Amino acid sequence: MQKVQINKISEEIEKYIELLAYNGLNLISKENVRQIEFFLQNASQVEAYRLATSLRYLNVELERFLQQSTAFNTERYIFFLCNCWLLSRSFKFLKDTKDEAFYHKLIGQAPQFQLIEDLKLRLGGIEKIFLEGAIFGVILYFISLMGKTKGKILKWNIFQPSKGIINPDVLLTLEIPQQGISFKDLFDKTFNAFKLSYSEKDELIALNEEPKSKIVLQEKKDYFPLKTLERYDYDVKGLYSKISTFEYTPFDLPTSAFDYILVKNLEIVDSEVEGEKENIKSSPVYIFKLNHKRGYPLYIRLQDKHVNQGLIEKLMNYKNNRKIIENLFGRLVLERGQLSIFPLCVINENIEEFISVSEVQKDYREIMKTLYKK
Amino acid sequence: MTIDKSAKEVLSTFDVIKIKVNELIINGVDNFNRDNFVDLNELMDKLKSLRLNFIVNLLAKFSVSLKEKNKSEIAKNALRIISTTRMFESIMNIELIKKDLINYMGRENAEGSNQ
Repeated sequence: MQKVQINKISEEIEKYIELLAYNGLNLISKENVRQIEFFLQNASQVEAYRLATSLRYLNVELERFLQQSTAFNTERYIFFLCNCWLLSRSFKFLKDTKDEAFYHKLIGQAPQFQLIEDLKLRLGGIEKIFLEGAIFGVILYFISLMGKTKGKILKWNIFQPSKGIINPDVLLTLEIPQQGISFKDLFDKTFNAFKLSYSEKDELIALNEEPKSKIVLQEKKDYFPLKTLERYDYDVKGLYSKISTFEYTPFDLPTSAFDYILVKNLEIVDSEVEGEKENIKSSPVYIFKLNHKRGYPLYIRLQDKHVNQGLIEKLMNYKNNRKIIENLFGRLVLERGQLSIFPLCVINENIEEFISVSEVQKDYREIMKTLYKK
Repeated sequence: MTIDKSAKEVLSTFDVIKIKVNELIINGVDNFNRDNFVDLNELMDKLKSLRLNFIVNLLAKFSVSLKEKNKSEIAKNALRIISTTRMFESIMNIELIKKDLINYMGRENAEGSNQ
């Protein structure tokens, strides 16, 4: 029954997306936004989550366009327009192939959370997120130190609507609900977390409402558990086999992140800016070339956006002073034919530094409390 | 840096295609700059020299639908071009990285046998 509904809705969506592509943005009105909203509700009802998510982002972009918001981004609009079109057409393809596995992949799945009794965690990295006008926040990457999740990296997303604030670091000063500590208090300490929500498939954790989660910090600072990250210190053969398993899909962004990597004895030997002079309507990209213990070609690629400014400055500093980084832990990123690392944490002398985070003024805490007061 | 010249040429040609097709999706077919027809032909020649015939065929179909003013086909072809170039970029992205790693392994082996 569900498949019949999806097919019907997807045919309507396909035609509507084609109409939007033909008419261009000049003919966009509130009616289009309402129609997409209607499709979005239908897609959610038939549990076509992936299509619903793309429709939601498409809707956000169309609203921004109508409001003449500076946050409107043509590339993002076209990306989601195309994704909606492809996803809606793919259901037609499914009717012929009857490929159930492919079908489930297409409709997507919302993260399925379950309660996990006890976790021992250590913060292993921070990434700042800023989607203009829509969302800002940080992703905290925790190293699990015991139990069945030992060695895994578990993510905790802290996102908020942006409300004019452009520096996601300030969220770290906020109190973790009902814990009496801020997110910053989780730095440099191992802690136990009881009764968290955990999604195994997405490697996500979150606070649980009932029973309530409880975080207990260790009293003393201790050394960073670098050994637990050694599994991500790939040699060239290991990395090649890992990359060979990568699955292409037409729904991905040009940048693909699919694992983590630990890089040792690293030096930034060169840097350049790509796309500065070319006629490409996107931000220039800083490219840092790295020398490291394993030797294979590796880069850091960062878009020239304010959310990356602190990180770019720190990396420039490392380059100019020819300073060796003992360990760099980050996300393994495949972008524009270059194997890259997105830095999450620098570990020198067994002490971690969350390289993307800048010093946050204490006054921000009060501002944040006011802005996000319920 | 390590990315080779022809790969860079393909990627920047794709950027140009995307900019042109994006322009159509933003401005609508009625406001599509007709000078782009000429540019499209030039692009097709360039893509032929790079042996990217599948994109050439897509651009040719797109060009025909524009001339025939076939509303539904223009939109379909524009969305097809964007999706296909994006998929091809993803494949190329991974294959270039694999090639880089294979080259590195080759150099490493050669150095090992010289010692």
